[in-house]
Amino acid sequence: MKNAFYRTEDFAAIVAGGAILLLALILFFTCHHLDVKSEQQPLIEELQAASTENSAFKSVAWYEAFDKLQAIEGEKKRVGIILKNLTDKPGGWKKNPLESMSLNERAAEEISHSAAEAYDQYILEEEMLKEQALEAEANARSADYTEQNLNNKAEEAIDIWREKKAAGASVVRKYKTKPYSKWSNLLMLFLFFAMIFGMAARWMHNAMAPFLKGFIFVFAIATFSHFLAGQASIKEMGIGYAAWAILVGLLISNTVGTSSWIKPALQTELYIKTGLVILGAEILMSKVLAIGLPGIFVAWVVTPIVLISTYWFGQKIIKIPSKTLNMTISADMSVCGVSAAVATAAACKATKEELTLAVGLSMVFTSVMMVVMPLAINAMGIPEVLGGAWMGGTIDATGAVVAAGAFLGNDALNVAATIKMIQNILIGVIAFGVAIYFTRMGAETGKKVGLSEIWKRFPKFVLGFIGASIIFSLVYSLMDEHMAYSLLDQGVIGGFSSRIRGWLFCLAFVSIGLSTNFKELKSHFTGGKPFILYVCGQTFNLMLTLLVAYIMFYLVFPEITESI
Amino acid sequence: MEKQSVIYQWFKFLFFATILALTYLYVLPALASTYPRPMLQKISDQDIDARALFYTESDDALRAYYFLRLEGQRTKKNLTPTR
Repeated sequence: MKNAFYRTEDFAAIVAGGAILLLALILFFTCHHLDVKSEQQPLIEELQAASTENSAFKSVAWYEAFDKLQAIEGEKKRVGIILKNLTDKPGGWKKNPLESMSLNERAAEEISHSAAEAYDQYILEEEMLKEQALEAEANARSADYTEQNLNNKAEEAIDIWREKKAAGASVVRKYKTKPYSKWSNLLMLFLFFAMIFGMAARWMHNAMAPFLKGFIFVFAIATFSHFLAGQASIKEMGIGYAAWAILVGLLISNTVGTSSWIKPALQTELYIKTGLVILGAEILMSKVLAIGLPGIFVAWVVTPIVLISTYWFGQKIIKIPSKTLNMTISADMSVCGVSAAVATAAACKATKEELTLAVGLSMVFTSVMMVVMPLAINAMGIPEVLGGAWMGGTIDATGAVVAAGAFLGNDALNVAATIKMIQNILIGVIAFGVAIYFTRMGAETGKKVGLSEIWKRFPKFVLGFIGASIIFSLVYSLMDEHMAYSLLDQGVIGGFSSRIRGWLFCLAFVSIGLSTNFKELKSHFTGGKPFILYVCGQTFNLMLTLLVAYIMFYLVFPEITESI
Repeated sequence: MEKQSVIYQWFKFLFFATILALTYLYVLPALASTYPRPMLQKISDQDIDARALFYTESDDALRAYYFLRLEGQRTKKNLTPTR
């Protein structure tokens, strides 16, 4: 039957997303579990020895063991390299756009040579600062780590050394530049997607050939969007592929128009739903406890309060006509920006124009807050940990949170990024809750519906999303943190599935841009209500997050703050 | 009329594409240069990708979590449960 569940987009998305995740899990674990374990074991012992020898502060030896451990990444192993190349996108570039796709040996040597002097200087300075840190540590050790003054001096010297190491990342990368070419990788990826979605189209009784023909164009625009996002200044501002995919799509569809041969490939919902099933694997529940109760309160208590309050405000005070637009904006502002907007829009069946508006608002405000918040934190004299928690709970995108955190310091970066990660994990619960709410309420009629009707209307892909989250959370919890980091975070997920998911979202945004009428988009913005909703909601978010972060990190759990 | 309409569509495309290109090549870089220099320097030096939308797209975020987990074990404070 054409309309049977197994012939629907949701089923195709669950199967395609699930197959991709399963493939990655099997490949990484069967090929690299043992060699990663053997590489990690001596370093884990070194780390434990360093902790036992000195419990007063993190020693140079501890940091060196940590640096080597975190460098063991699944994506750098044989299978990881193949899968990472398969999911490659146009790279960064500064003045020469061709560098985004390829770099020949001569050009690579020139870049490496140009960085040689800075690299040598960096190595000298880093070694010198490490010597000073070791000396300060030796002084502290001579007093058996009982002299707080000596301990503080040692910690300070180690912090200076660590900052130098962090600041050298770019110089080291430039010095170690190797030639590359991404053309064949992109072709392989195109064929991979064409095969998966071509088969999905066929499975759903749609013609495969028209889909494949249009997909060439859609994939090309997606690649172009990644290319645009790779320019150095654009990268620094945090304007990613989502904005460019929508803008280029809108440009084409509202001028020359989207040709009929492209339309069969504008499978927005299929790309989004498959991407969301894969995103489920990135929602690892055990990470919620990363910084204990303070983190949970800031990320999981404040966020739902802000979400529900903003939605209520939008319905009752501002009176936004569309409930789904209201919910999508409330979610993207309170949770984590674009990803939350995509998940919520799919769960409540918002239109593509509503998703576009929510994404646009989020990206504009993220760029502004990334700069303004650290400046405000410094001006107000807010401590690093509190400032990091505040930014993590309010700035929408992780990259912007990391950039803003780095500006304040390492502690701020670590806390901000971790709070944002805990908030990201909330997407699963939010998407499920929104799906249930809108299904029960029947957004169009406002009337409650029965259980069978709920099941009929329920966006089934959410089950794939939740299922992937449960399975991967279980797998994660069965492993030790070192293996989980190396093979899951920096292997299956970081090295493959999240990259595939990024491409799928990009294809979805291109499809949205190519099928959106600008006049329809403009009509949703009448009266500036979405903007007012975002500003009011974000203002409340900023105030409540700061208050709760202060209470949790400084009044209720000061010992956790002290140990960060 | 049909031919004019196509010409008009292409004219609109070129016009808006030019505006987008000028925004991309000149307006946005000019805006980026108004950001605080120390912030741009840190983003550049530390190779931070400010475009990451989700935490799994950011190596820095993944490392930060790993660091805090090991930090919790080192101090044996309940930052994270140990396995």
